Amino acid sequence: MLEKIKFERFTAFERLEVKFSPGINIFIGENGTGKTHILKAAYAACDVAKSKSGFAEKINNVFYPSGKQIGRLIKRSSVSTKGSVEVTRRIENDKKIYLRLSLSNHTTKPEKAKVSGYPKAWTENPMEAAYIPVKDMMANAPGFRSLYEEREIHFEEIYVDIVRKAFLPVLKGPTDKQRKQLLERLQDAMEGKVVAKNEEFFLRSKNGELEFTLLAEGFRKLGLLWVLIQNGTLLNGSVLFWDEPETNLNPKLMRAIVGILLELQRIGVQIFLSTHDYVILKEFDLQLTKKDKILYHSLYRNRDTGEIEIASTNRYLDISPNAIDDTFGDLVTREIQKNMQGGKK
Amino acid sequence: MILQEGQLQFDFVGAIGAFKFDEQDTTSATFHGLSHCMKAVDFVVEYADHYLFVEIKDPPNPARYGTSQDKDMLINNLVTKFRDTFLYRWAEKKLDKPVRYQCLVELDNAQTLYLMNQLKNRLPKDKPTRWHRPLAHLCAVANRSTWNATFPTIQVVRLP
Repeated sequence: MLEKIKFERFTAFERLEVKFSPGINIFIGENGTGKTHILKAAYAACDVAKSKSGFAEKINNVFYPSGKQIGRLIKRSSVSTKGSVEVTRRIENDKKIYLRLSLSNHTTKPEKAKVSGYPKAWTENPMEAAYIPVKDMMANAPGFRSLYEEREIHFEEIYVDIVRKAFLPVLKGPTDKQRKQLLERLQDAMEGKVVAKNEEFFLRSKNGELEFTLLAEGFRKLGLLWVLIQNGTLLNGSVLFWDEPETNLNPKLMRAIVGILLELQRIGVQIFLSTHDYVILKEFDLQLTKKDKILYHSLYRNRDTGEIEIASTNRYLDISPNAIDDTFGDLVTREIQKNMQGGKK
Repeated sequence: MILQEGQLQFDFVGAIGAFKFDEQDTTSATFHGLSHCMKAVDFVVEYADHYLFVEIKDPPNPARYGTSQDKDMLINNLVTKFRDTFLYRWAEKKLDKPVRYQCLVELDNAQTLYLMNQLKNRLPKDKPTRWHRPLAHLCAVANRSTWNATFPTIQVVRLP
């Protein structure tokens, strides 16, 4: 389980520390407050535990700065600057280990950046992680992996990673009861199950097989979640990152999605979401039970310094500032004002 | 003019008069006296150019005020309170100015927006051709934070 992440002069952050819930972590905040950056950095740390590639290289591939110059990930400054990102996790026997990447804005290549902490213990304790990006990749999967391996294409590595995860074969042995139930719930929501043929995904329903390119984007996302559960990527001890799950999903589907995410958390999957969506927040609030573990993280800019800060709470009503609710508040005010003006006519 | 309902205190700056509309004190000049058969809003406030009906909903556990059943009951309650108060004021011959209806509901902004839309449907402002005037010139639902931002002359504070 990831325990916390700490940034110093890295991307958008001057200094930021986020303590994670072992269950569900939801990041909210206006655009440009670094929600996706937190997810990407944490994901990179998780991924290298299993892939054993270098943390610096993974960070560079996941963020994809211009010219792949890793030093560009340091927060912009007029002077020479050093920065870092540090991820802490708990391994067996409750031992805490961390992985720290330090670099300067002059560092050009990942191999020149310094990785410290517990890199050996980190890879000796592999963990499974999946990152679902905002843009759907399932429909573009055919040939994408080989294209990425062979050519220099301008895609952050999260996109090829998720395609790789989606193509993992099904776990050996029978599917356990909990996973079976989750798969059935997803099948109900998308009215079918996913099959892969020659690198192409199809939704198989009673009406036949429909290729993903012809499928609504929202269903493609459900299909991806179905695949990740079915092939055992999302099991106890794994981590799911999902950037703006609401994209292309009808709000009515959110009830099912949130129910499934809560179930995943109950079987031991740690979850990180970023969202701009009221319905997601409210669904979690309505479906949470006392046993569920959740933290809402609100990212915002300090009015005086302009720097990004964070406020975390486990109570929906205590989220403050709440950029999503503030937007509704603004709508309420404007609606009332419009009616009052109308009344004067 | 200051009035209080539960822990919420309202300051109606510039009002000519303000009183607790569902007054239960039989010795009071504003005793309601028809609570057994008519619903009542919490406050009625008089201004130079309009009357203001104020209804307050301060649920003890707003997070659990979520189902559509709860919402339907809440909207029905807000509508009935307005209509009965309107009738009561008619009988009092106190409907000589336009009426505004403002509900302070301590739920999140998205839910108050939904309630406001529903309430406006039930107390229509776009009057049919046979009407000469609307029932309410304004129907507003807001929580305390948005209320204070929208109505600067009616500040609401939560007392400890």
